[in-house]
Amino acid sequence: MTLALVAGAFLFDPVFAAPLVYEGFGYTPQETLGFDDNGGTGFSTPWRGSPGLILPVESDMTVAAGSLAPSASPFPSTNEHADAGDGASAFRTMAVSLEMNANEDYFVSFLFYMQPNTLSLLGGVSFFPNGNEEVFFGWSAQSSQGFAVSKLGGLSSGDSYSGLETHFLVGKIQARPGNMTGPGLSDQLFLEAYAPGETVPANEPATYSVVGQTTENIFLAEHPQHRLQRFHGAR
Amino acid sequence: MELDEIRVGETWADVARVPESSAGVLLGFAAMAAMKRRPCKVTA
Repeated sequence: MTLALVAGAFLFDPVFAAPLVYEGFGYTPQETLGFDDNGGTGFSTPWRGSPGLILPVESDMTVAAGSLAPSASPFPSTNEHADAGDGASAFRTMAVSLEMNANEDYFVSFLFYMQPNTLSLLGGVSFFPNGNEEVFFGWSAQSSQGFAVSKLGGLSSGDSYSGLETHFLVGKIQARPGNMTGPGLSDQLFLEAYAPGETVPANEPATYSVVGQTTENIFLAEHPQHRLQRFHGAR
Repeated sequence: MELDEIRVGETWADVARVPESSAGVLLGFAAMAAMKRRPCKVTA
């Protein structure tokens, strides 16, 4: 941490707007992500292993040493990251409300890596309220392999991934009011994946590589849970 | 699967803003300082 600050004084002075939620996994390496892991900001619980926040996290959802951020990355990072084995998932409740039944946009970003010889069926970050997964951003091979978004189980894929490099994923939830009120008010999901060396624009791009359209209105609970997941096989 | 640096926000800048270089900030401060330190006028 101290090293990062010193390097930052020479090269970068990262100035980020304050996100609603941040998790850098700055916990003890080699340990299972668990009850004591209550860092980051914008959460009201530590990590758990089930939507009901009762079960402990599976032992193969661990904290690993090293940051996924490339050495030249201007993004600040902790010196650890999360490493999920097959079928592992972890849940954590956000402290803030997402107003998903209004004209609101929300954004999520994370660094993602999956070894090519262990590409699983699914991996990424979900919003998982009320025991049901409603929004997913990540990588999937369920319909066709690629970075994907999913809303209420409807998957939209795009942007292939070799599994050789860490990618920076930025997703967007476009929430609109009403329920089944027509295409003009439908909720949509968007995702863009940036490979190392690819420029991340300072402003939101006009188009995204992956778009999940729906004529339905996605309604999230007021305090959606934040789920990390990786599945191999049917889920 | 490995994950890191998760952010959720209300704008693109909340989660993906490219940080400003401190070099630019420092240059700005230097320019301001130079403007303030005008040489005193010497009168005869």
